Amino acid sequence: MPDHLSPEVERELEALDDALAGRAVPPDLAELGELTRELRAERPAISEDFGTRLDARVRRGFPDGGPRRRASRWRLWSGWSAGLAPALGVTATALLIAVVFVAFPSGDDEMAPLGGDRTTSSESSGGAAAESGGTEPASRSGATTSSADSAAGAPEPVPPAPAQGAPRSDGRDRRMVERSASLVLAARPRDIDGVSARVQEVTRRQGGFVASSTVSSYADGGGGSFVLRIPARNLDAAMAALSRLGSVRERAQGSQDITAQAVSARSRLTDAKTERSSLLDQLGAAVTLQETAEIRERLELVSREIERARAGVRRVRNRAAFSTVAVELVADRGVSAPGDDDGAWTPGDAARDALRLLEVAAGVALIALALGIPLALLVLLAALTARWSRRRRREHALDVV
Amino acid sequence: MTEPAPTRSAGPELDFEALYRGSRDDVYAYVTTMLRDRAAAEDVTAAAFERAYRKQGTYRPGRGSERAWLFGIARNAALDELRRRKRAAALAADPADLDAAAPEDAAEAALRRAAVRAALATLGPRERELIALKFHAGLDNAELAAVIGVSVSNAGTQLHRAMTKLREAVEHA
Repeated sequence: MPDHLSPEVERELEALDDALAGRAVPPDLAELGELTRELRAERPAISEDFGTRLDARVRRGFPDGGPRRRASRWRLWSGWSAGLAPALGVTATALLIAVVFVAFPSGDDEMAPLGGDRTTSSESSGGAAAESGGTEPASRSGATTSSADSAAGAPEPVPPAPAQGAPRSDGRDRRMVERSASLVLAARPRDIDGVSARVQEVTRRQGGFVASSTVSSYADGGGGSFVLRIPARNLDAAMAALSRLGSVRERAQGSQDITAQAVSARSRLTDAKTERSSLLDQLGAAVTLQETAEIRERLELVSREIERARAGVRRVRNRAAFSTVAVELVADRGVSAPGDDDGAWTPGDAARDALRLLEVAAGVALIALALGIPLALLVLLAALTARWSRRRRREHALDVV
Repeated sequence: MTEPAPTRSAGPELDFEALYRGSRDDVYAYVTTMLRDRAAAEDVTAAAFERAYRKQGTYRPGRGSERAWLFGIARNAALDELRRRKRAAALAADPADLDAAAPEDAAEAALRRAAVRAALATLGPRERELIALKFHAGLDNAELAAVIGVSVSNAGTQLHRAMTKLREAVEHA
């Protein structure tokens, strides 16, 4: 279609308007004017009855809607509900998964208690592991420690073999066990120094000592690490006291049977003592100077061996008597001050809960947005397509004769 | 048509009462020409005004006149009805359903009007719609263009073609 009209067409269209308005038309277009008036006369007139009824409905503001409207309303709802049901179902499911995913994250945190405390324990006995275990704390002893992280993939624990032989024939009353533990504590940056002092205080109070410590403290952070030696009998009490100094992030305890090492050390000492006694007897029976000198030289060696064996025995006993506790102190602005948490729900707790709730809500909103935007685009596309299709069908009605 | 029509959440731009008063007969005439069925035309006319009444808040002056908006709604309702009935209207197919010629008309005038009706019957639905919008509904060319969704010049060209075809049909009738 041309964008502009020819003068002749414009003239005839103006004549139509003139005739419709009752104005005179040019003489050469009189026939067009007459046709216009006849077309106008063919105009269907509204009946008085229908006009009155329609006036009344308009005056009442179409309160009833009429059967056609009710039917079309039902068709509209049916169409929308049928079309949107799968989309709504998918969206609801996705939102549910998102809420569960955000509120209960998988992985390491899934096994952690709500406070973020992760507790592990391990136990091993003797053998090569005992040799390499040394005084490493539980969380750092590698093969000798099994944490909850690996528990899922680990084979089921093998139940102990049934006891055999006479009671106490395994010497359980003489067995020696080395216990170790590790603790990760979080405290506010400004509390790092105070908590460090309390760690040492608790250690002293439990009869232990600080084997090594490193503490750093500055405005926005800080931290520290301690290696403590605590009497084994006080380990549980010490761990409980240390756990109260901050927010426990991780806690692990382990034990290791070192009886074999103790027996070995004692055997070496006994053997050395027996040899020295024998050498002393030989020395009493020696007649030549050379024999005497050789035996004395041998006695010196055995004496040194005895000292080494005694030291070995002391080391093993020490390992059994004292537990090594590794304490790591980390700075975290989000944790409460030591001793703040007395079980009461404080405004601070409320603020943290509210913050956590907002985080979860924001996460859910973000996921919903990520799902919602493509979904909204699809819905928009579908709506536009439906509108275009409806318009096409309507126009098609004029083509069907 | 003397009772005032109420306005519902009427925006400041649309005076539904005035629009109804000024367009009721025109809408009916247009719809009747389209449907060729007075009963259906009454239903569709009522439905169109009800739809316009409920959707009056969606009227945007920038998109066209109030009448063009109203006739757009009426056109959609009429086309929906046509689709439902799966048949198109033919103006001259059912002359008894339209206003019969007045008995006092002169014979020549009656013949002339019969020729016009016969000529209208030869037009296609789209051309008849243009005739209905122009001569029965009384829309100007801009409103007509807005209703059928084309430019004003395009609408003028289509209308001129329809009139040329109608004039030729009248001459041969």
